[in-house]
Amino acid sequence: MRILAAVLVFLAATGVPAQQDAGVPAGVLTKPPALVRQVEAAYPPQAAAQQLEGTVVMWVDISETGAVSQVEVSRPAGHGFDEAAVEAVRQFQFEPAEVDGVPAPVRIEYAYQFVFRPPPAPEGDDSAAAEPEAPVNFSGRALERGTRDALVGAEVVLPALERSTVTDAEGRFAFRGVPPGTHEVLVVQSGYERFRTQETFTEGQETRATYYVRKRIFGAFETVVRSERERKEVTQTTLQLAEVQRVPGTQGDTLKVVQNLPGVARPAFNGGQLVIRGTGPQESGVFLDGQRIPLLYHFGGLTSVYNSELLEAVEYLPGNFSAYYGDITGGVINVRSREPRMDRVHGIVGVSLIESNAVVEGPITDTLGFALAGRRSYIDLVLGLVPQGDNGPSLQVAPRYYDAQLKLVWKPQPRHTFTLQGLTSRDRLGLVFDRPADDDPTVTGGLDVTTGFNQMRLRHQYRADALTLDTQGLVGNTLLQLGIGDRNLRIASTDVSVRSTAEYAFGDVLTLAGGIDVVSHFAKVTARIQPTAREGEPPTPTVTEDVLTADGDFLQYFPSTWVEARWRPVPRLLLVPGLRAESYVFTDQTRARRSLNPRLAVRYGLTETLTLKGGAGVYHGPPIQDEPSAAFGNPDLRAKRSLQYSVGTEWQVRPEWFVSGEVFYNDLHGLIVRSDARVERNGQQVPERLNNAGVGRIYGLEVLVRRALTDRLFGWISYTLSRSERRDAPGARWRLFDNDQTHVLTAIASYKLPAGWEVGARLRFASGNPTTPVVGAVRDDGTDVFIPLYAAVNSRRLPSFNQLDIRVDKNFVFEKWTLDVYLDLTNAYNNPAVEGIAYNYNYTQSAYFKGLPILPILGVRGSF
Amino acid sequence: MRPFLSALGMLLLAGCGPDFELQSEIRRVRVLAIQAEPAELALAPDASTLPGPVTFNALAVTPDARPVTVSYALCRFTGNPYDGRCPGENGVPLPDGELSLQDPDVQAVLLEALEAAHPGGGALDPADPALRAALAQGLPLFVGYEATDGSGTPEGTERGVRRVMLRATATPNHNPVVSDVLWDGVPLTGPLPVGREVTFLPVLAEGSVELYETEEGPRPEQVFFSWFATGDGEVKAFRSQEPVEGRPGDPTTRYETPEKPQRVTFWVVARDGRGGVGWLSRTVDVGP
Repeated sequence: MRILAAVLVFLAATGVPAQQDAGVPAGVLTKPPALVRQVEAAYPPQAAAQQLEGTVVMWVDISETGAVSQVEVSRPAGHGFDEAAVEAVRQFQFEPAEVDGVPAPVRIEYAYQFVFRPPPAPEGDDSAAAEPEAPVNFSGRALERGTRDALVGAEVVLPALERSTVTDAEGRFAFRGVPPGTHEVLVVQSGYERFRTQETFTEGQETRATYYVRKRIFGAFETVVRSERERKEVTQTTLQLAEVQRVPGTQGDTLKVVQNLPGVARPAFNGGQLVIRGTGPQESGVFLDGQRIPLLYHFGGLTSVYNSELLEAVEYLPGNFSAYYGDITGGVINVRSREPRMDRVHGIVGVSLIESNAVVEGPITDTLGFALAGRRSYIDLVLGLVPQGDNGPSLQVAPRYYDAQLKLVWKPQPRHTFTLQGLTSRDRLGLVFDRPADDDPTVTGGLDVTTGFNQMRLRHQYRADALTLDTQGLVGNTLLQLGIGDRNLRIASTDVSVRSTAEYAFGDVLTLAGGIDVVSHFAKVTARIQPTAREGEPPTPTVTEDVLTADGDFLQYFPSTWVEARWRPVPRLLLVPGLRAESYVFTDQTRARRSLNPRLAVRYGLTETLTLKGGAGVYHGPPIQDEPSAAFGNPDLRAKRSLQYSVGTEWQVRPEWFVSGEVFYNDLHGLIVRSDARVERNGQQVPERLNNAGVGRIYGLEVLVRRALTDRLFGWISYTLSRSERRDAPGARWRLFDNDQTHVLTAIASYKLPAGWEVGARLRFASGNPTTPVVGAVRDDGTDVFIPLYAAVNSRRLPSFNQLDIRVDKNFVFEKWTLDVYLDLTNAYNNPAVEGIAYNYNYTQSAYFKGLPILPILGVRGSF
Repeated sequence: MRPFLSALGMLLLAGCGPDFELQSEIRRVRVLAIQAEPAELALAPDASTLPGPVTFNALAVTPDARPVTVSYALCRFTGNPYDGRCPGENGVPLPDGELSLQDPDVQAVLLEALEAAHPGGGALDPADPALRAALAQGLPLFVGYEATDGSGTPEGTERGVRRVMLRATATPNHNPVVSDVLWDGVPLTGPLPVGREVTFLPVLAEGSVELYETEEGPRPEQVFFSWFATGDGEVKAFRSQEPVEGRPGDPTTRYETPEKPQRVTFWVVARDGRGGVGWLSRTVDVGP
């Protein structure tokens, strides 16, 4: 019963192009560098004399033309190997790497292996040259163990015969005329462990072999990318897929990982609420590739609806974002989906105590690739194990969720990319109450909750030297259906959106960008329901509220256009002024509302590593959900306005270490609050219900110390000190925002140990949420329910929160596939959070009610 | 929608407290029900004469049967009747628990109520169709009460609000009547065994379940019950309800009898969801 109720509380929770980055990789590696010309190092004479072997590990900087600009030894081998290796690597020629499709400088780790081979025998007489070529009697392929990627340019050596050859682009090699007998075979490639085996050669037979060579350090993300690409956002943090999947306590969930960054409050019940810089979850926006996702979480907070296996990166912009995003006064999270891998078909299957998921991707033709993902929950099984209370409702439809994504990417020509994406998600829960709930006798009969959405997106991207075009269209539908006994709510909406962006670079100094962004929803709404408490209103039993009804069509239409300039008047100074014009159109409105949103971001590089940044801007957010409807709210509501200011610095201490600090202030105006007044509409006196009389202010400090993901370690420490206040009517007192948390501290670290082990930990500390104390109660005789009498809103604070989560992974690398077994232990020292106060029936007794206890989640993930 | 589910979730969680005093336990001054006779203020359809007075009768109990006085007041429409100031500065006192429409103070509040339901109407014109529509649907009047045993302690006082409907109708609502409580099929007289779970079934008198008109046509009332008991036992299901066509319901409750022999008083209160209330009390021995 308690867990069930906790699930229902979850149901309550809820509702940026690759540029500047707080942390390392600005931009995403779309093409790794390829070695075109390798120069063999001179074997140091003193080492050769002693038949010594060695491996030199170096950091190699490759410019955007593919030339080696710098070499630095990170793990020396001594004996003259280091100098010889550096000398040779300096002369290497690469095909340059591409970041976001554009050649860019990168840094890679390169290991040069010195393999001792005795010198070849002196040339014989000419008769040797006239020998006929022997047939190929030893051939095969060298592949990477686990991923089965071809090893290109690897040396295959028969040391005893002093013969060697190099594998081709598909990893194939061949030897002619190998004499019969048993000989040692070596496969050597930088970045891989030396592979040794014995092969037997028989007269007249061809020996074929496939060798699976183990990579030195397991993990596909060992390349550090440092790009000089233009950075334009005031604050943006980008998390890579590997980081998203490894943060302890989040089970690899795409959106929950953002809750660990500065500016985000700790969510209740470790659920999905996104409270960014003191604003409500409904005021922030979650985007997939620049267009919004309608429902973020299954059951309001369990897991996000987008499978993290398909994402490239998650971008987080807490505020002061550019004119590209709008209709939002909170923060922005943009999930960027990745392209399907085109080398061959890959698959991933994952099973955990919560859900199972599978991904299949690969090429269909040379230019067309696909990725298909699906996920299904086990929450119905888990809830089935929890004993139900005697008085609890019985499960009619066990809660379950599923989601699926499909992506097709077609690149008919080098500069054009067409993408088709399909998304679907569905949640279902049904309960039967055969007796009324103790605290609300109208909660009786059946409870049925169904939510879901489907979306189809079509996108075209064009990339030339100076001009970039990006157009996407979206068509979808969203369903929200809730029924409790006599009360019900059904919202079925059709969503159509279009976003088109163009960018033109006038040399290095100025880039202009602009676009249109149109979002529309056509909803059919039927409702017979009581209005519920808004933010800032303490929870009251709904028995005393009137039931409101609605039945009709409801339109929401938000067209916007924006322009932006990125201007470098002097080197190291970047100015980004932008302007966004938004309109908000609703059914029942007397006239459409418009807003103009000027924005400015400034970045100044004091030194190579230290940057000063600042921003100021106007942000508007329209009334949401039922607020502008005539039946439940006020169709004449205006948009809320937020004036945002921030100032900070960023310090790239070393390539892997990044520190940033920022101070921000948001001034809120026109917030939507309840009103008891009556107004005239269409010649009739009607209750106003809601108006724009609320104001607010939010200010704080955010600090981030981040260690980027390179071979073994990643992590960060994030600290936020902030205050978020509201005033609900002119002359009322200032009160705290419902989720104001003065301090939020999160420390995360994840480390790769040898033999495929990884351990990670997350330690969090946060102030408790504010709460409104109860000073008495009045009984409603009609329903036999007590109505609490409250003191000042949010005048007390719950106890503070601290929790440790631990994650342990063990990776097994087999020849053709890999397996990751993990344990994600939430709340390791069993300190459940205090999420609220529970009262008895007449509010004479109270106790804290706690969140989830220690919760181990075990899972496996296999990929081929 | 999400705030609604949050409230629901909070409600379900709120009951699960550690060793909280339950609503079914009588440990202090409690008003279990207030019956209005007649059940609603019925205006004749032509609204020519005012209906007669309504008398309130409270089921006010204590664990040791000490006397409790209940006072009533009609709450003004200027504020929120549930803010704790009625009876008090926000209410018109109703002596003897009687709400009479002849009282001028009561009439003043009635005007406020009509104004709230039909704003901007100006003078009260019985022929005004908007006013007639509001009256046909029913106008709620809020009566605040305070029950006290005179001790002045928090356990000795309870305050609450009772809603009474003023409606223009030819078929006014009536109070349901609980005629008996059965234990294992026979009327409950005791003695009950100690330390065991027993099941009680309420019996409604003929005519307690009435048909009433809704937008979807005539519907029968779905009566729901609240169960209370003194002593050390525990009522396992505080609420129960009668099933009606197509809507599930289980009218029984389960009661865990105390370990030690004692005398226990039970009350079952029946409500029809439209302001009608009835109850029955039984005092039985548990054990030896």
